[in-house]
Amino acid sequence: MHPTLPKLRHFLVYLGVWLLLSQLPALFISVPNFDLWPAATLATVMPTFLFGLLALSFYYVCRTLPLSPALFTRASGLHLLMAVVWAVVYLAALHATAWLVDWVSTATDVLPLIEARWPQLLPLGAAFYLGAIAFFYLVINIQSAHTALAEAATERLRAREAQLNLLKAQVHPHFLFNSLNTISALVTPEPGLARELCALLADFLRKSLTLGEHDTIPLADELALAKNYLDIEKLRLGERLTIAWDVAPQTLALPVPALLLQPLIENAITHGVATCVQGGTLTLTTVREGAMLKVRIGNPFDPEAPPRKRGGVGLANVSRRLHARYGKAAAFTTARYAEAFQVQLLLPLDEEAPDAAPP
Amino acid sequence: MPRPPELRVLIADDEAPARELLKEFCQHHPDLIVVGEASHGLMTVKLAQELQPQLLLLDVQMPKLNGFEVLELLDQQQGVIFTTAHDQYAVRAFEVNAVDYLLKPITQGRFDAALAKVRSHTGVPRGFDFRALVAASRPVGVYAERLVIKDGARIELLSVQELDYARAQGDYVELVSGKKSWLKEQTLQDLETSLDPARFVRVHRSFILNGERLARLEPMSKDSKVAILKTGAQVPVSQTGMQKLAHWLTQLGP
Repeated sequence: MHPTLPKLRHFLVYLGVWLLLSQLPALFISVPNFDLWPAATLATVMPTFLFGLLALSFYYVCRTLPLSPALFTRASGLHLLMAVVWAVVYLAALHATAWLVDWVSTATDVLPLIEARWPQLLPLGAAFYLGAIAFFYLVINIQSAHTALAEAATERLRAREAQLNLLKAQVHPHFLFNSLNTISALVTPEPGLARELCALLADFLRKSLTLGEHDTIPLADELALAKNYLDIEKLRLGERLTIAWDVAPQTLALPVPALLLQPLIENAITHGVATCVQGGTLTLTTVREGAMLKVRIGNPFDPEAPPRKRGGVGLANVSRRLHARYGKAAAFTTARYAEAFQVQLLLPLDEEAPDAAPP
Repeated sequence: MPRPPELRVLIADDEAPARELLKEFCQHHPDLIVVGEASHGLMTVKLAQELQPQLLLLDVQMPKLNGFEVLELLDQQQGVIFTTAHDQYAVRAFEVNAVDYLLKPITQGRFDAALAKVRSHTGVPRGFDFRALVAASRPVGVYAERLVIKDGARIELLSVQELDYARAQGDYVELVSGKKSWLKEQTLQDLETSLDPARFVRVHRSFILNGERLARLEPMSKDSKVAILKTGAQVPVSQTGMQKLAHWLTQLGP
């Protein structure tokens, strides 16, 4: 069919409208002598119907010439010119048909009437052109609004899904059970430390739950959660875990998506420092670079560590979440060296990010 | 009343507090002597060989080698109690194979119960097949990424990508990579189930071939062919092996 008239039903309605419109010139011609109506109709139906068919091509003109503010003068000028051209063509077609009708049927004499009515018929042709153009612009706008809505909905769905995955991955049962085992181990030799660890674990769970409800949180809150988590890991890993933070003070208040860094920190421990017999240092740097927040997390890993399941899921989740939220405005890169791994996040600070999903 | 004989125990866990906890539980049994503590897989194998413990308290997730890999490298003379925090595949494997295991956090009561079970059978539980345990601990569709091999006192980790072919040698398999080869106590059947069928083909009753090493095929006799590898090595291909190889080659195509 036609891009604006996807169904046959719509196409037939469109043609029907043009058949009805053909009665307008017939009306002009026959007024005030309505006996001439049938003959006038004979002369106007074909040209008007043909106009309607040819008008289908206007759609493509409208497509290539959108009514944007930048192009408005050009588009309106062109359309006015085209309206005049089409009006003249239409009038010529009416003349030709009238001549034909008169020639076939000696009983009628429509041609002189049309010649007399050209001041009315010429603007009518122009109106047909402008009407058709207006119709196509309307359809194009409705269609693009629909597409934009559908795209926004998919984007929202994707963001929601990423959020859900994140919540599911938030507190690893493995981490929880191991921590409980550590508490249990500390109870006899170091009851004070055991109590401390209970509180740390409770704080961690509480923060994970409440922070997850927010869309964005200050970087300081995200880092406090990470610190809490690392304090727990430090009790389990002991000397093996050292932490080197380099946090620029002016980054602390910057907004970040809630719990975006946490899976990266956990990865750096479980797939990194914890795989090394001697342990190692987890590094974290945050710095503001213009309108971007840069976060880097680095960790050593043992290339000969036993293969673990679920590797890479956390990284994929972070990447998907960033994409759903910022589109191409954010960057997430990973670098793998012989015995070290580094992730880098570049987050736009402009909340009016082009593809930002609504909260 | 006769005292039960002494039981030499080796504790393997990468977390110091977890080891301390197990030591504490052991202290409630005067006949248990903790002879050593290991903080990673390689150390566990080394200490187990040196100290010859009768009971191994073995964590699943450890640096260097995991608990299953450790078990593969030991002589299976000692009793084993696995400890794990949460690993659905490991737990399923233990249940299927009736191996004693303790879920973290561990309590004295559960520890005592597991110990009693170990005492009731000397050494390895009857009918315990550690290879079946290792196979069951692997999720469906996940294959071995590396093979652990004991080479005298050394432990070799051979990435499966480096394996050219494997050959059955009695109770052992010979693993060949370039000019090097190792013997591992394993059946070819067990090895085959642990290897990714998208890469490895059982081309003969006694041979598994890394398909990516295949250079060409030459006829050997009326019913059989010989595969020439990129390294120049030759691997016999039986009639059914030929069918499998042809199937594999078509699967690899677009």
